[in-house]
Amino acid sequence: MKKIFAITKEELFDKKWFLIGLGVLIGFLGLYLVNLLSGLDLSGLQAYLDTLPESLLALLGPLDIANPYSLFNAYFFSFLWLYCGVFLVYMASSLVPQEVENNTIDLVLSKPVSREKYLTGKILFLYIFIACLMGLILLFAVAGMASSSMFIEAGLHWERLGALFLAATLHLGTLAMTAVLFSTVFLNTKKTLAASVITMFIMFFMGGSYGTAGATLSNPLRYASTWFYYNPAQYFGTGNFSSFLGDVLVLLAVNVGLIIASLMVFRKRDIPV
Amino acid sequence: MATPTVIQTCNLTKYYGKNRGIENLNLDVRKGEIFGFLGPNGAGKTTTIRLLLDLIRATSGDATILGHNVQTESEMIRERVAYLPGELGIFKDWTASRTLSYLLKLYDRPVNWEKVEELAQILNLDLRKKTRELSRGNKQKIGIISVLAPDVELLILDEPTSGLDPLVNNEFYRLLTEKQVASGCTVFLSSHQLEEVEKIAHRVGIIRQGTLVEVAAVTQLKQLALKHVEMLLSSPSDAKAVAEKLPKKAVRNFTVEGSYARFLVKREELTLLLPQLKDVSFRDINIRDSTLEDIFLEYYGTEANGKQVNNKKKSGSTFESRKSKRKRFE
Repeated sequence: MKKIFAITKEELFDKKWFLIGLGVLIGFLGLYLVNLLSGLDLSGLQAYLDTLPESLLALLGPLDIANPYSLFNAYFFSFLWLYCGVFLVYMASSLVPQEVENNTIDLVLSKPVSREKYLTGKILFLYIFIACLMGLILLFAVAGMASSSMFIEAGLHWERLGALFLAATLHLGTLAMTAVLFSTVFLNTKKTLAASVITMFIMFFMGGSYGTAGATLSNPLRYASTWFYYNPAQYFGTGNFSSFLGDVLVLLAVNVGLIIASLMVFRKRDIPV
Repeated sequence: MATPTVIQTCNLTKYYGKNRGIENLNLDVRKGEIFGFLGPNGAGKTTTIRLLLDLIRATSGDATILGHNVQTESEMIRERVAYLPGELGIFKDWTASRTLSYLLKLYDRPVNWEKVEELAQILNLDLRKKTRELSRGNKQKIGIISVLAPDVELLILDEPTSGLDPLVNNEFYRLLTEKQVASGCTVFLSSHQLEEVEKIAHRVGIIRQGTLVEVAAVTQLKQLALKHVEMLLSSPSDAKAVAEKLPKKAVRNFTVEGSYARFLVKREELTLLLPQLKDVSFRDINIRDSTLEDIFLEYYGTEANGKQVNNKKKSGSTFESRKSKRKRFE
């Protein structure tokens, strides 16, 4: 374990300013949105929304505008994969290939550390990074909500933020682990990044548009996409936790599956010069 | 009692797709020796080393280090081994001190910082500097410290002096020999320069086209050494006269191109050549170490890349053919 932590520690030390910068930037965006929403006439907006045709509303998805949690989620937490995901995928894509490209992997793997421990150290770093990033972002959200009269009136439900933290961390974890798996296959930053980003957007469209697909396509599409198991609109927007445990278990299983696949691929790979 | 074997390979073969890395390599490196692994670029030296360190996997064959299988027990092996690659990868934003701390802490034993600082002082390396600010030679010094500081039983060095200036080069070989004598560790040193290997090695293995063609003691190897002589003649018309005055026994591959005469001479026969030069008219002379390519061409009748020349029989790997080749330089 000492060697795994040594690898994790160096990565955290290297990326600390990136973590703080990204967390603060997205956190401030959340804070800004809370303040923006606090100044809006939500009942007026809801009345306008009620006048829209039902087919258009179906496209927009379930949106309870009068509820500040639902609105904040629609503008912020539903897009966390985009705000953070792209950076995470980039970082996870380059974590191992960059060491191959810089020849530093030879130095490390010629020391008494197995490939499994090396990769586990990198993976552990990614989860700690994601958890810390989410923690920072939610800290700003807590500050915004606690100072917003709109949220205070609707009641401060911290358990919803707790559920969101877990679901978002696991969901972002699946994106990062997909990139790690591709990186062990290609050992090349550009190829890994391309494959990971394409996969991410395919998953997003599969998970987000299953309602508009035909009946025969609908089920396989939605079940295959990790987006189907990330439902902040339910946990955070409405406080409905009925699918939370199932979603978390599926996302956890996907993460574990991707980690095992990455370790299996990496242990068999030749490290190129 | 026979000296124990530290590195042993049995028909070790590595193909990269259809391209040969090494083929049926059989190698025995004994405990406590400095073994030079000599071969031209692309011969398979780095492939062999990377297979031994489990950075790449063999297509067929086996290899053991200190009695352990290099693939299934690699972590255990690497606890007892230090490796210096020729193309040293460096963590650009890290200081030399942080790089060494990270690498040395991956061993289970405590880091000997006094030794690290002592080596840095000898090699004149500022450990506080970021590696991106260091010259190539200074970066290589980080690698040198990372192999000389830990107490290990085997040092694997892949062209360790590339990028080092001659003074540091000599200092490195002094430190390496000191460590080897003091600890009795085994050293496996790859190089494409004969003169570099013969300085410190006890035995030398020569690899060509991925196959070991010769294992010889350094005394035998020294007879291989050739000097490349280039003379700038006073006039191109002097070439014939020069060729006649040079001792035929010592001079090989005499060629003339414009005003330049070029030839090879065995290092130990330079004494025969030099007295003759007083009768030769030339404006300048340059005597340098010959390349491995020259040596392969001279002794094996093939270029380093395996291309056969002069209709000489292509060197094989049978004992008889190797024996006959050895005779030619004994």
